Amino acid sequence: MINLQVFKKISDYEWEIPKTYRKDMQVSVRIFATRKLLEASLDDLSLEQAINASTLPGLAGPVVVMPDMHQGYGFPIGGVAATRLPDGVISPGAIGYDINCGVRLLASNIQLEEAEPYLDDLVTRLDQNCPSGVGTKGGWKLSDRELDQVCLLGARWALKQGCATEADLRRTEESGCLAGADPNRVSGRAKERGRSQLGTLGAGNHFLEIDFVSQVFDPGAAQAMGLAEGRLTLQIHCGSRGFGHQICTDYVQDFQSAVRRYGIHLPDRELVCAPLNSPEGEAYLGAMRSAANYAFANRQLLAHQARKAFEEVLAGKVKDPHLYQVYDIAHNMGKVETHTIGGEQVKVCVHRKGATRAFGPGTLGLPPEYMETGQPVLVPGSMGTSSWVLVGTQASMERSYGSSCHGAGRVMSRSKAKREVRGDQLRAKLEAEGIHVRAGSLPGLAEEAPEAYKDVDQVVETVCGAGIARKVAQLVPVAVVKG
Amino acid sequence: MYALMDIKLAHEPVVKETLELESLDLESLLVQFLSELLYLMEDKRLAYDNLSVQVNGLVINAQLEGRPISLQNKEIKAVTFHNLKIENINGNYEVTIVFDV
Repeated sequence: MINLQVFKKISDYEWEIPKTYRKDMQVSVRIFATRKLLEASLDDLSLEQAINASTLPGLAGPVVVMPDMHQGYGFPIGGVAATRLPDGVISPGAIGYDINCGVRLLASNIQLEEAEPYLDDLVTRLDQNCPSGVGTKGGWKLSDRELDQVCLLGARWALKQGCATEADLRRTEESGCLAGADPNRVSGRAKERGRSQLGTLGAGNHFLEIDFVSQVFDPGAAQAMGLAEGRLTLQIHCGSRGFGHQICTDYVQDFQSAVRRYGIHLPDRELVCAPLNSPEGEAYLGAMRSAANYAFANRQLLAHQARKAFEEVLAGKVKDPHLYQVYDIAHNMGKVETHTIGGEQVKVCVHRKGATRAFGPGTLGLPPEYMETGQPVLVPGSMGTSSWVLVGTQASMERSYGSSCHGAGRVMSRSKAKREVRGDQLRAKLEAEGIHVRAGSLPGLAEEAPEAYKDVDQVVETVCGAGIARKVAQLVPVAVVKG
Repeated sequence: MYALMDIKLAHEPVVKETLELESLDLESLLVQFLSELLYLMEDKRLAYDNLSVQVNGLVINAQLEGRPISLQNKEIKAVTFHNLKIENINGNYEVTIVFDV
């Protein structure tokens, strides 16, 4: 049973569970949290899951947990684990079912005051242009060949369709395409599920949100991103839809026998894994990258559809209705990266599940405009609360495999939230606060009530206090579209 | 699983499907079976309210009869192994299973 006596305090924002805590731990667990958030984390299984994750073969350093941690399937949400190439393992459960669930942020030159009379029409048009909700299909019906191209090209496929700019791709993690995708490693079932879902938002905690920049903390970084106080921004949160879910399902199933073949013993079946250089590991990598690229293309198409909504409603009413890409990040992903661990440069597979890449200034892979600032880190708050734009730091490269938090972190299950919150009352409350709401389902809205989540401001204070991110701007919502 | 998604079926047409699945233990077999139903639901928009299932060792044979889905209020993303437990209690099976929503 974990209690506060187990933790070794490194600082007010960093704690450690030593690997001597349990005899099957291969590495320690490093937790970024305030004492208050640490105490709250004992209410669910997130830290036990982090300890279980520390038994994965081939870990190059500590398992890291972010302050927005909460219990997941096998691996905690908010967790980061780095396994050594070539024969450390890859674990689909440490990446998540919604492969490349992530966030895109777009900025504008639109002042809130000039758009305010049109916000209701705008959110209606966004809702129409960006299909959301359970079982929704999109406007793109892909052939086998087209779907394979989406898997291989990611957001670049959307560029070929005239739905992206080079600047969009440059300002996307991995330029919107992971190399090494192999659609031949994707099952027929996954392809059937993904064929008609491109360009859709989905349901659950996926959303579109119009915000305005309420405060700038780093004027130089904000300028590089195109953010200015009082101007509108748009967040898009979604992932790889049924395509990614099926791929994860297929490989979690497949790896149940792989762990037996490779003699790997794990405390949780959802942590199943295979060596990165095994046929099974390589197959999953090829399929996972295909799903990641599907999600990059999906968010790009949604951005294109959202831009059309802004132009259709605001053209002639505001000076410049266009939306400009700030950045697009993944928070469920496995990436091969090189990090300094124990004084050595080590090539690792960084598993991030509910955690965001947060590369510091000067890191290879950042676009020129962010080389000096560091990578934008997008942290959406729960519905009706602030969201944050941060940047990665050198300390994140040294302490957390270049990673940071991804959001507020759930504290209440969906069913409990639905029992305690009424969707119609929540919608009325948000609208009374001046937030325009379009929701496909009132119970679905209740599941996403702010009280079901941690305080995102505390999460952000923690990562900034620990030095693994730095504040750039705070965003306040004015409209939300939820499936 | 269908009840959790609050699924309603159309009256017709009635659709029949047969499944044969094999896995390495009962838990994997159950996850595989339910995942297959989830796939059929999402891809073909079908759910089955008349199921005949035979389990022989680690093989499931199932004859399914169902209809198109007319309403679905909730999405299940995946069937997981999280906390999965199959217990034989006095000749009856009790299952604990967690779905990713």
